[in-house]
Amino acid sequence: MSILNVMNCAEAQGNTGVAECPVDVKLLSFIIKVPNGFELTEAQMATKETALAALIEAVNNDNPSLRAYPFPAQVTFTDNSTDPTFQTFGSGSLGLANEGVYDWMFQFTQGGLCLSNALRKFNGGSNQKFVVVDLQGNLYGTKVGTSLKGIPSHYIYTDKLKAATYTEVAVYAYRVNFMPRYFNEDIAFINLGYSELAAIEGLRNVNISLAVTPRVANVIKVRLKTGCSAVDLYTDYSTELAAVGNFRVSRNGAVVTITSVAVDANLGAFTITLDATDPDYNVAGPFVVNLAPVSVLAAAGVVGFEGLPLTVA
Amino acid sequence: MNARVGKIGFNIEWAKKVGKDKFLKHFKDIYPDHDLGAEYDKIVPPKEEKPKSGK
Repeated sequence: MSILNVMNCAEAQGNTGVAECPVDVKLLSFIIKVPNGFELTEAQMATKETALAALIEAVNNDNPSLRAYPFPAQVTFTDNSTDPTFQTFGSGSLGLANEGVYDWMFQFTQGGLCLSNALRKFNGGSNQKFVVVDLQGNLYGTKVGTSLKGIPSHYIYTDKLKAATYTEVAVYAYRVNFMPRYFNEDIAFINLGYSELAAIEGLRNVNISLAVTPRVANVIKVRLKTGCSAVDLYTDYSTELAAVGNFRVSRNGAVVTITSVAVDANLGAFTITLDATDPDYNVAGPFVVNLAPVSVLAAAGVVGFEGLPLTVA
Repeated sequence: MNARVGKIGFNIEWAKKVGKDKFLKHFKDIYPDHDLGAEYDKIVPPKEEKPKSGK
């Protein structure tokens, strides 16, 4: 059994003795940009828990092109959808020429300019798909067979920021534009709970920087800080990160063996030592230092982070 | 190097492959204040000598 397009009528307050209760789309809160092949299958939608797990797995996919990206919740929702266009004939009768399109704008404040700039990296992409969440915890996509798939958009666009004034804060917003059928006749929804969906966070970038310059032969000391808020991962994850499996070092695309990773408490950094006898090692470098894939870090207890590679001369 | 070294995650596979002598030589200047011999023994416990049978 699947929870696709199932209303939990038993929990609906104020309804008595009704055989059916219709879906009522509540205020939309945020979208999740999903990869083109994204699909929640009938099996994955057997329960709320399995569906949430599949969604979380998509958000934490090691491959950025196969990953789902939660966008921030709106503080103002604006419906800019276009009205149907009717042609007036000589007789005075009307015919529908164009149904119009959906165009929704989600203004957000969480994350500010840093997050806005991250979202703007998706601008210009083609064939982008999304799912959308409303305040009652319904996740909406489009129904294809027994699956829920992403809604194809004409665009997912994050606007340039609008400067603050004496009466208004700076405006950050994203828009989606798409054909009506995907949210009407072909709509798919599953109720996963709003707090559960809102708790699914996107990955945070980790900037890797040298703690000691220049590099000393086969010893590289690095600091790890998140991209937007510069939170130091050393503070919360020094023990978990001090393991060779959490880092990757390469030279000219070839992996160089890491012999140890140690906590440097003086510097609040990590000491990475390389095998100088590794045929891919060369004291001249350069080396590319990065964190392990998302899933490897998560297994080590460092959940929700992705490193940005650092080239070390 | 005057680092205050905390936890060290050694590459166990590499350590077993290169042996104790190379392990000690590789790390002696990097972690001079650490008992590297003991660290290696955690990775590859020394073989216990069989007691000689006596009559």
